[in-house]
Amino acid sequence: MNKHIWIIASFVFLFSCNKEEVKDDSFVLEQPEGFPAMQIPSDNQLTKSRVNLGKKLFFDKRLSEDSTVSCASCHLQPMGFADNFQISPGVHGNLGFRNTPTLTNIGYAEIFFMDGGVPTLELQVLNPIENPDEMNMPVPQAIERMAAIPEYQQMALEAYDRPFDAFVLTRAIAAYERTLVSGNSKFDQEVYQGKNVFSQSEQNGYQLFLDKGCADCHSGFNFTDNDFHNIGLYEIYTDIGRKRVTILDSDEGKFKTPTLRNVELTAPYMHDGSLASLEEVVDFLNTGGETHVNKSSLIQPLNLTVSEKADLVAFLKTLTDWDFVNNEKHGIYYTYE
Amino acid sequence: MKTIFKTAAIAVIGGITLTMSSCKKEGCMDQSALNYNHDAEKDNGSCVYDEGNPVTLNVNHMFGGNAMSTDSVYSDDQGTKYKFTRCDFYLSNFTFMDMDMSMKGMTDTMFIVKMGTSSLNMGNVDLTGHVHMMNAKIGLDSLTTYTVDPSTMPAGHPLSLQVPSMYWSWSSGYIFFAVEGVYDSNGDQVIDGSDATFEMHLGMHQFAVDDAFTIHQDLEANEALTLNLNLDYSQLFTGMDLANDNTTHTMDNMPLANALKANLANFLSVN
Repeated sequence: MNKHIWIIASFVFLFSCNKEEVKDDSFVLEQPEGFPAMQIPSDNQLTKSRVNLGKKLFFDKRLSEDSTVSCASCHLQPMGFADNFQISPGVHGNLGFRNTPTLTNIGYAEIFFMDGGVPTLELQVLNPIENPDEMNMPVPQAIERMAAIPEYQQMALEAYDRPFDAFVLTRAIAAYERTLVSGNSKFDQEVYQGKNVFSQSEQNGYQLFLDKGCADCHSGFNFTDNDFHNIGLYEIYTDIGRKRVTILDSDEGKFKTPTLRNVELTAPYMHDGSLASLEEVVDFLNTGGETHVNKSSLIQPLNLTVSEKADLVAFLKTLTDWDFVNNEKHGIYYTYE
Repeated sequence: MKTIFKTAAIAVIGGITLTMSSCKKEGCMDQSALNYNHDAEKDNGSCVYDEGNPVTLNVNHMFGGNAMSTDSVYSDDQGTKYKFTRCDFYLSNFTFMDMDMSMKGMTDTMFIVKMGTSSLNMGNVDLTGHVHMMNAKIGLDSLTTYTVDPSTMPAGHPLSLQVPSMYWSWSSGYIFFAVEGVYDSNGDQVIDGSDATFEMHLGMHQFAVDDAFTIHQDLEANEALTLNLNLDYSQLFTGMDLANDNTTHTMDNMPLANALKANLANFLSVN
């Protein structure tokens, strides 16, 4: 009898050994000094297989109508996951009406798009795919196309234990985007890591940033309050901003405060890409903006001297994270093993 | 040695049997059952069926007194000619008033009605004795509109992602009513490829339309209730001027959205 038990035990051991050969799929998200833990939905906790799948989809042009545009076409790593077009061209050269936002630290955003029309990063994935001015691909058709690719089916099963579908598409791309964490800029080294790396001009600029109220909206570790403001860019807005989704007149001309991280790389600026350089942005803000009934009371003339404007720009450039921009792990040729 | 092989065989067969039986999710696989489980891979005989009256709506697509056709050219109140290319809408939140004047709900039942829809099988509800009226909503309730993530819905479900879309990906929420077509934009009295399109999409909870339809029909136990759902497309553009005001995605042209919503009150009838 004992002999039988030992033999059965050996088979059980053999079966279990095979199962335990599965690779470690856990993913440890970088949390830079001074950053809070990222809030990640329970149905989309990060794993290597999910991030790998999301990255592959992010760079795959087959998600667009004519296979010419991917997410990465407008969100380029060397430009802080934005691009340098005033308005990015989509399929057939179609133009939308807003400047491409950066994806730097997008996993920390609390609401999505400049007008806040979308509540989750997963749901955000849907719009660029089906937007006629971007990828112009009805999502069910995109799923049908990608699901026909055996590699994607296999990756979907590994990552989410289900065939490739809308759930997998939205979750995987969001999973990859949450890995785009930038927290090792010169600013981080100076302020969060206690290194003495600021030049005098950068230090002056940082003090101006705090004293002149810039940090009232561009606040916290990610330089955004995740709120909506009218900064008086125009007296009359052709793009009505947040009013587009709330219908409230009091929201006309309000746009979400963008993060300033990697802002040096993401020119041109403003919701419509109408200001070409950081110098132009500082010049504009120095005037206190145009008159508008919804303009934030925080927007006032700054009365900056030429030297102070240069200092402020110098500080903004300390938010560039070259490690992030050059991190091969964010690129298509790196696979998490 | 013989004993070793015998024991090994038992272990292997046992292991395979255990593995196979533990992998398949069991549940009710009949979609007409109350407890249909779309995740089930093996039917375990647990299906439960409603014994009430099966309700079917036969859908009639009309333009005034005639059948509506996408080939036909119609005229708005200003004389502008147009053709329909699309009319899709959600119909949901069904309730019936029974002989005791109490409301019987079919709140989980919803459909996307399209120009090609000919009938809607609503399932069963116990209306034995008499049914006084039926209520339905063009659109969806606000909770569904704003909280359901369409990417989590199984393919084929009315709330899953559709082609053409019934969901606003730029301002998360469902489109309740979408009507599109071509109008005589160049004034040559002919609808052709040189003309422009019109597009009216209603969403947001305040644009759902609650309709009530008088029925008054006696029913035996389990007797089928078959009703005609009449859609009169001639009502949609009453008071509108398609040549000059023809596009709304609700928030971007509220006056036109409100006009369309008002016209929906006369779009549906039931007999």
